[in-house]
Amino acid sequence: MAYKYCTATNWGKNFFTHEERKMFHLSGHPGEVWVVGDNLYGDQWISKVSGAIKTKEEAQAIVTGEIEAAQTAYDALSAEEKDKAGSRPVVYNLP
Amino acid sequence: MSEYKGIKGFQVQTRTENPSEGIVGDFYYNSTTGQFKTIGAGVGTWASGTNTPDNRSLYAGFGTATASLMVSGNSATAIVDLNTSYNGTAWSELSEINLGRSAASGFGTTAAGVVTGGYDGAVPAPSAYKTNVEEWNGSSWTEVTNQPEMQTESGSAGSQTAGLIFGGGNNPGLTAKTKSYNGASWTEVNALNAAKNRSMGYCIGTQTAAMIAGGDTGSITNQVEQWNGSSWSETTEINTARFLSAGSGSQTSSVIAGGRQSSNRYTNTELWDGTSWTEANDLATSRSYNVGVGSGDGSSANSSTQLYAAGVSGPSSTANTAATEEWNIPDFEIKTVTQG
Repeated sequence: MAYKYCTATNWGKNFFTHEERKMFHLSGHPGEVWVVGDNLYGDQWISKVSGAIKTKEEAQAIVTGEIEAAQTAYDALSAEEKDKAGSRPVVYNLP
Repeated sequence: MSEYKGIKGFQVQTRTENPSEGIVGDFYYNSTTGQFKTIGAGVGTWASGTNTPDNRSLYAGFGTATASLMVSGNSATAIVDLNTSYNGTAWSELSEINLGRSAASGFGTTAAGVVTGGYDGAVPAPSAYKTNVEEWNGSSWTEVTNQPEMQTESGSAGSQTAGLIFGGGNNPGLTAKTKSYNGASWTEVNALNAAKNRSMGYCIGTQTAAMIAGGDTGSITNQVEQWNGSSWSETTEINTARFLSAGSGSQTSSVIAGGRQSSNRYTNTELWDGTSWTEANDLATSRSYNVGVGSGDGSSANSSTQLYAAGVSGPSSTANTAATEEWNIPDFEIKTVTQG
């Protein structure tokens, strides 16, 4: 499946609708990065939310930066806080 | 060309517009659009809901998708005593709870609710664990009879006069205990088969028909247990083991979504039909440490809107979100028949 990548701020109700979720892939990631199915409906949604188009590499860099910041914050926690917070965040690859 | 009547033995019904109510399996011709249509089963999806006023996780939540409370919990930096109401359209702040706390359990309605347990320290040292119980009457909170013992991060179900909490943590360990609440006092009843905590995202069922799925038994589990009013029994496991997920509905129709396992945070959604779990469309964003609420009587998660608000999204345990998603399965869907 082909994807497009963008950043957009989720304003809440109707940012994405039930109908839109049936028409194209949509997943949100750290840094307000959205992975969008590459079809007509996905394009229409990016336009609706005024998404700023990114390349996959640009989108990945944003996500990785957010996760690395979370890792830094995690490393600064006390042992008890780490126990409660769970595992250290792990960088992952966008589809 | 063969006629449909000749093949099937009956004529295709002609309609000038699509029906507002449909029977799954129906087939007709829409003379206005010039298209053949079929009516299929509804497919559930998540849509974005109204963002919460603040980024909050580990709150106590109860009510319905159009009348719910999000009480106390963690902002990104501190425990808050906020009491935030949702009416299906907008969130509004109501009277604050007396004891702000994190990871408390809640049950009831926006007119008569209960918040119990939790901890009030940033680091959950034993002294931070609370047994305090507060009742909400629609306008204010009142301190009532404490829980008999520490039992936080527990599952919960029921109403203000017929409530139930089950499992949870009793620092430093886990507990399998179940306690019922009658509006005045707590009574210990039969325990879960396995001690488990971090299941406070569940508000599934009633005092006599409750359910718990997943959780932390020392390791992340996919166990599911059902309560029949007197005892717990194990039933079909969820497909994806997880804890700190949210669930809503009833013993015969429920939704579980999100949660986490180790560093993985899920978008997975599974539907329960009373017998088995089925994978469904994912959340748009991963979330955990939140609560799911649905139909107030917990009757059917598969035909009513379910609300999964706020919580933690993304990779960090402190990356609270205000984003909300709403689950819905329409009764039916009309599809246009296209030539192959």
